[in-house]
Amino acid sequence: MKDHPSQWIHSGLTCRDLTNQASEYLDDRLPILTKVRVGLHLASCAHCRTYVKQIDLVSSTLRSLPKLYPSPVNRLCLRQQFVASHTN
Amino acid sequence: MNAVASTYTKSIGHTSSASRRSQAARPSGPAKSEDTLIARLRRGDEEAFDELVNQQHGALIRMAMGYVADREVAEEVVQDTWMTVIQSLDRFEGRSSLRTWICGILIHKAKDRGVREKRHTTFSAFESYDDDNEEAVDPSRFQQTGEWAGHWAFPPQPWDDQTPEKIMASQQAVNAMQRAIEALPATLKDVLILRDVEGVEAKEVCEMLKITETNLYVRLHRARERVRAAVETYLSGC
Repeated sequence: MKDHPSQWIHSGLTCRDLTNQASEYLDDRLPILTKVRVGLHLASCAHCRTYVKQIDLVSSTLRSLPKLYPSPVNRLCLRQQFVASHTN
Repeated sequence: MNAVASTYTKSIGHTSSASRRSQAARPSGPAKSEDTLIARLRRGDEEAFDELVNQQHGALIRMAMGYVADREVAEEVVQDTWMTVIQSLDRFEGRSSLRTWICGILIHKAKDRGVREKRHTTFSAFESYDDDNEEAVDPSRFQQTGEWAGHWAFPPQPWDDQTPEKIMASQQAVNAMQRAIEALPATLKDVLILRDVEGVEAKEVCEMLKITETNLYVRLHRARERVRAAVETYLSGC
């Protein structure tokens, strides 16, 4: 299917509709008929493909954010408290 | 993944992050490994406690930041949460996962601290999340009238060759994302941190936050869109 606005109508979705469902689509949470309509729209709309790809990329990148740990002082304090709770 | 989704993932040339997360989030016997961890914790195994802190501390800090003014206060709230976890571990009944239980303690303490220090609470924390009229993407980016109403007027420009690794390699891009996350209201921040940053399954996030799956995805998508818009702004300035 070629990218062309005339094809978008076949999906019954506007780009605005599609953007609101992008996360559910990526997480595979849409009902089957809606999923088919989203798939049809994406197959013919490069802008929406770009949008969904960007949401997917952001979601993947967030998973790589640096881990956060307690400061050494706070960790020591917690460890002491944990040990104390088992020696009382 | 169904045929349509498969077609899409082929067309964008990779497997979606959701399916990757889903694959990654299926360790063999997660319930059993949690039972083992709890047993070790109850025996006073310090390494088990360190493991637990290393696993959960980041999510707790990021979530606490949604309710209190700054990182320093968030650290205090999380430290207090850990103290409660230590003191209450024997009373944990296993009716939810350990993570759900700990997050519940954190949210209760962070909300309480945020209310007590109202002057420090960010305005974003009070922002409405359940406005049905609010759309994720700025409506002015779509055609308003005519044959193509609802279709893109100002479409997103492709981020050629961008990957998570390339974005993470740019400190400025990471800062832009961090700022966008920090500016989210707590209700959006919670779902984004749990689902995307920590990779918690949707069902467990709903259980932790006591929300429906529909509500989860409304919030999650608004949060993802705000971060996407921040990256878009950053990349358009490069």
